[in-house]
Amino acid sequence: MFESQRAYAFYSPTKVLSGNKALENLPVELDGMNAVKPLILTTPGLSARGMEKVMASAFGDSNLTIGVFAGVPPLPDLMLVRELYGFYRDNGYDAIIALGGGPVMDTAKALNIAVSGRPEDLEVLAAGKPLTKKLRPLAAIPNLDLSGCEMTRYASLGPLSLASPALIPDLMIIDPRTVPAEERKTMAATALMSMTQAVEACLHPGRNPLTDAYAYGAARFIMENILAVLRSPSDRKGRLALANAAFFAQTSFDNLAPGVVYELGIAISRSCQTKPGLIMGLLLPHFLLLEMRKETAAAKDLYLFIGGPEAFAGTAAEASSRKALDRIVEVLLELQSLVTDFPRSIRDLGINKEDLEGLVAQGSATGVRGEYDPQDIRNILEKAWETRF
Amino acid sequence: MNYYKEIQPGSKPLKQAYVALMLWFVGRAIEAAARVDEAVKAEFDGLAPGFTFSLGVMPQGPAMIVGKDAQGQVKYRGWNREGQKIDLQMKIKNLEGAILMFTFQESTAVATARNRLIVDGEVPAACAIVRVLDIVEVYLLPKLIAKLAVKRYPDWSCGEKIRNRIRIYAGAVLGL
Repeated sequence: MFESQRAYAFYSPTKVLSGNKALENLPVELDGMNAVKPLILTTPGLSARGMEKVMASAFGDSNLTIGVFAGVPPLPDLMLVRELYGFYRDNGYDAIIALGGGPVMDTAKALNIAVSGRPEDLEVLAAGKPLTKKLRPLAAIPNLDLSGCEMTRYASLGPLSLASPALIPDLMIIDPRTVPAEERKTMAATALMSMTQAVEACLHPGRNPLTDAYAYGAARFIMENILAVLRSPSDRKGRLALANAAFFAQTSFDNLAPGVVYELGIAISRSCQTKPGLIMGLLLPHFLLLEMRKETAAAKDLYLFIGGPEAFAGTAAEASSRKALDRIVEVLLELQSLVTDFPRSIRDLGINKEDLEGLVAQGSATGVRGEYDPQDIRNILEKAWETRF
Repeated sequence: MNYYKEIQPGSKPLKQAYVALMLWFVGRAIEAAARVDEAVKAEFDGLAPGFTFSLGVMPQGPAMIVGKDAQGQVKYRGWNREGQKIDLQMKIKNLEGAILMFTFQESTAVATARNRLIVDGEVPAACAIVRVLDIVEVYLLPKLIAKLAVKRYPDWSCGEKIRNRIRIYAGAVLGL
């Protein structure tokens, strides 16, 4: 229900082109942004899978020259950005296209700051000072190996954490050819990350009609497609839906403070080198159990997002949040049966019980919402450590 | 290992030639249909005297130009926009979008809805031209394919459709 007394703000400047042959719109879209010579950044892995050829074909008949750097490593650093800065400047590029997931987008965002001003601006932004120059056009072409921040204002590069609304890509293209099937584990992790972002957006005290709309879209696309894609990775339509869901979830996430499951998932993944999405999947049911006990209106709404309108309409209000939790656990169990070496609990990741206190402190300190006290975080972590799904 | 390279994307001459041929043929068919079909004639009568439109592929792909002359006659005016006053430009954003349209995988209405076209001009005139294109496609294509290419397949009498189809084909191919 719309509440007129609640003021809200929402920001999403990205133009989205999704669907068959969406990639071929790139030349026209770049022209609209006064760019004629883009530099494409990607990984050696995606290059080896023929993505360069797909891109070259999309630019066919455009009379444009494109530069390609196909060497973005899993952990890009400042040295790489300085090297790319020289390459970009020397060859007269005027736009960046990031083809791939987290590391590629982080590099592209950092490079965009450098080439739009000076490389030193990276340290300036990391120190919390705002950017003063308008950035060059940035296009994102995501796949299904995502970090959860590609389409947001956030980027990280080695020790630098960057955050500015100017970093949000101007354009995002989701084309079936650039969303290839990844390993099942990778796709499951990306979908669970998006699901966590959508669920936490729905339950967030700062939620608003637009974050709800994006979170709803993300949750529905994931619930309708995740199992089909994991059973049959060749399902092009399903993969496209999951890539769209990632954009929706990230946009919703970008307009709210990060939630507790997201923060804990990122913190745990740093210590055990497991994809954060998988960890978030293990934490999410325990977080929902906690929310359910609070009996908030938002927890009752969640089943609309998870189960869809028909299931939601056929469920009594008091049973609604329980149903949402049950459905998420069902999906999690199914994913565990489809993905080999999917962890069953955070204990399986080598986390010791005595490590949990450190995570509670980390979780409480790093932007977790005010209403979660350390005891709630401890509760979630202990349950996720003890319970094996 | 050197990860840097510059690519000069190639062209797609076969697809260009196919779309150019289709545009040439459809342009001439519109001219013929405006003489033969009452609905097409009525659509052009509703447009301003001297009205000219182009349908082409961006950035410098093939195009067709059709317009009304001083006497209100509809004429196909070739592909070159230079020196012509165009009231309505319908531009397909890329060659692949044009291929989807001209292989009838997407109708004009669907292609518009899928953001494959840019219209520069009056929207009512663009809607009239989309209706004209639909009618012409019904005449040019067998029912099975035309059903894919148009929004709604019209319920015309068989005799009239065949008579008009022969006259439009004769006009488009032979210039009669």
